[in-house]
Amino acid sequence: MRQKGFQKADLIHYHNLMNHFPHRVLFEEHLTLPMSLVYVFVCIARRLGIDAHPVQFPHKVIAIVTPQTGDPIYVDVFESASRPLLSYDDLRSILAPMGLLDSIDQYSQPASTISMVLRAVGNIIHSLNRIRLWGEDGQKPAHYAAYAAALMLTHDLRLVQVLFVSGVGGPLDSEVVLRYALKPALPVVVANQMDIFLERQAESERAQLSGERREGVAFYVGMLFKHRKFHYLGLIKDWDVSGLCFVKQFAVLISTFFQVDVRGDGGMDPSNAGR
Amino acid sequence: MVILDVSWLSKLTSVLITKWYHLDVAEENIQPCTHPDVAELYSLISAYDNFGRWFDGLEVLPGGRMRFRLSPESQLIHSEDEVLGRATLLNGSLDEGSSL
Repeated sequence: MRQKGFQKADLIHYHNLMNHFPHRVLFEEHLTLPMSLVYVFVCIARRLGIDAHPVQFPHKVIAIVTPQTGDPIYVDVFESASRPLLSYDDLRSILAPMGLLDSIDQYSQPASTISMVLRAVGNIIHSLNRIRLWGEDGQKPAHYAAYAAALMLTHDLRLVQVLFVSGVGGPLDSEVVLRYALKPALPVVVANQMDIFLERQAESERAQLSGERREGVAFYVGMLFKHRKFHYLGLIKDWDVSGLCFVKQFAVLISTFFQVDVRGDGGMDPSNAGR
Repeated sequence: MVILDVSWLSKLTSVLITKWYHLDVAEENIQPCTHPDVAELYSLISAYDNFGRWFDGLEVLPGGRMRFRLSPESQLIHSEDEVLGRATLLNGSLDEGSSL
């Protein structure tokens, strides 16, 4: 794996949101998180006929390999360059200072798929909380994916509300996915709750489309006009009152016919036409 | 009142114009024009390939005053502009040369 570039992410890239998503880890950026490295390791091992599973260890996921004879072997894939193999005693010595020695059975057994997905959800949310300050792309889809996955696995009603956090939303197809793919997979109570939120969201979007800002705008879309300074003919296609300095701006269409006219008259280029 | 379908204009005048521009213009630089030069008007319509997406007709009063009707997609975005535009055209409250 190391030869193919699958290695631990450095501090700069550790909280890259895409580290949590296998398609990105497999095909684009191999420097990644412990959990992602363990997924790859376990998949390769199983393909080779080796009994391997992820383990929910504190702070990072490790792997357990169970040979046909002998004790299980624990693999710290993330630190494989320095100390790849851990014994049961090593686990004890790591857990003891954390006060978790009594829970060593929990932290040394193969983890269930659900618990690993939920851990990934927690990791994504943790990364989101960090990068919101940085404005990284992909936040909306990551938020949507994390909470949708959590909802599917836990059926926790509170997560429906989180999915529709104001201003976060999801990808363009989120409503279609939620309504026609996710909702049928949910218990009736949760599905009904989702219906309520979907309807609220639709109402909000309708209100945004139709309720925005006519106040104080003198002109209208579809109006022909002449530019007061440059005298070209334009057609108002859109308008905006939320621009910088609160200047009401109109998006307009003009044609190159004007370019010929005005260049002959005043030498002005319409691509730089004064606002 | 006469409502004209302008879909044929792009074919007729495509030889005049090959390009269009999309600009932002400040409100104070806009002076309503209800009687445009026909050649200019043709060039404006024919220059923009997606014209039909945003506008679907020209509404012309007997006196020649006109405005572009909004397409369904435009009306969805600017739900009040179609009504306001029609009322303004009929009432003449935004005459040429009017100032803010």
